[in-house]
Amino acid sequence: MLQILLYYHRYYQRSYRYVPPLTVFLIAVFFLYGVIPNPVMDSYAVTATLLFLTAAWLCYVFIDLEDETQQIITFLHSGKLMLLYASKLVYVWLFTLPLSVFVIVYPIIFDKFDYMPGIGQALTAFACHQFAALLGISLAAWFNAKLFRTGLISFLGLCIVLAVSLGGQGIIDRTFPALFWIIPPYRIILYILNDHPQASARPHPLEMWHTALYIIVLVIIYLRVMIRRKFEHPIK
Amino acid sequence: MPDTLVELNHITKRYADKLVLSSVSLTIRRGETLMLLGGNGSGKSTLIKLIGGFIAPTTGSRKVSDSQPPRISFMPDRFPKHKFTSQEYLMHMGRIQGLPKAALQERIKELHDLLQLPLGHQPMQSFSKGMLQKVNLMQAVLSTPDLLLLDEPLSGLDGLSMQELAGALRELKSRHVTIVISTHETEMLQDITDRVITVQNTALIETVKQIPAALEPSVLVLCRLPAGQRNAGILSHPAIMSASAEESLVRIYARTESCDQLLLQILQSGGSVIEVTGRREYA
Repeated sequence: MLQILLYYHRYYQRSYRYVPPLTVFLIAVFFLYGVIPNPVMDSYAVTATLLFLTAAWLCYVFIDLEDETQQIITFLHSGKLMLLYASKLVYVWLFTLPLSVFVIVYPIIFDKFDYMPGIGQALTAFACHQFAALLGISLAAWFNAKLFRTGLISFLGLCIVLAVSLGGQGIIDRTFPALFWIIPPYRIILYILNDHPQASARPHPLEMWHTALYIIVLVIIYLRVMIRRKFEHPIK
Repeated sequence: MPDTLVELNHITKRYADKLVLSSVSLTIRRGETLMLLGGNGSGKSTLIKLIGGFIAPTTGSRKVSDSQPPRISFMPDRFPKHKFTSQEYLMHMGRIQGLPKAALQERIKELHDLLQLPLGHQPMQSFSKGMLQKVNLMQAVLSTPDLLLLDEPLSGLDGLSMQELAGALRELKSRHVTIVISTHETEMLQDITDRVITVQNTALIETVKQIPAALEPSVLVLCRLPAGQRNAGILSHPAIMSASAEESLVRIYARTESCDQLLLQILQSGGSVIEVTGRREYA
């Protein structure tokens, strides 16, 4: 997998497709902390949302980046299609890892908060950022050229899913409670990341497990679907 | 059969409303070379993808040995213009395959020498079609495959590049690599072909190979001919074994002994000779 990751890294690096999402993300973070002081967990909730959207954007541009014909060649050299798709997801996650660290550490080092957060708060915030990034990646990976006829349809589809994820709790409250299991659980990350007393304590394991399980199931189904799909494209 | 590498059984392939292949069966045995013929859009590329298992059939099945699945290499017709140098690209593909670094470097150098492509710092974005096809072939033969699938490997190449590629394929054939080639350039590859299969009207038609013409010493003449009657006169010249036209360019395979008269007639009639390449002579 390491060699595939290195290859994808060079491919992504030379495409410069990561520049727009990365630039927007950094500008938004610097803008957020341009004014001081800031509430700790509320600020982390904003940066987690930014990372959720940025990770989805990074994944969306990366997942179809490799030339269609080259994908067949890379598959033949690697021997396993699942390994390639899993490597793509791992690569985008690795790309978001330093971003998670940066948004946690930057406001602490440059004293952007109204008080110094404890280690528990920082770790909770880091875990939530990681879940946000992983959720964004596992959602965006579905919106690829092998499953959608056009880039426009896949882009609009992803935008709708991200919007539904952000407004999840409101939709569940006003419609059907059963949607709790279907709507991407970004609402849980937002719930944990606020300045209420529970934020300073460890998050409820069930809440985290629900999010983790959702991501795992989404990734497993994605891999199975993509392997069945092979190199077939929808008719345009 | 232990000799069988890939077996397609009653495969049908349909894209939306378009039926590409209808209940076709094909057995590919170890060491043999198949040439796939057929017009543009006849389904040759689809058949190659089905043989390689890159796409799933609508109905029917593809069988390969479970105990010893073949190592498949693929040389696509449209090779992408990467932002890597040829060496970087081949290093990545080889390392993904699990080849050791030192041996891989040696192999890449050897392949560049064999196909006469300089090892440079030029990214493949600026490569000509011929240079790209050479890298395309190199990635396919970084390590010897059991089955090599080639989709239009000679298209768009000049006479010399064609000969170099054909030579490399002959070498692979001598190492008992099973080769499936989809091509329009039948003359150039006829000497390595064991079976000729034509994809036509969603079916596969196997024809008996025509050998004698290919074994004659011949010369490949690339030229532009004058329009009209004089053109027809040249194309009926007795030296011509076969001729094909691609836009304004005419590709003629001519008998070596009477080629000079043909060249003279082309020039005298107002045509221009672009390239003359001697083909390998056989016993």
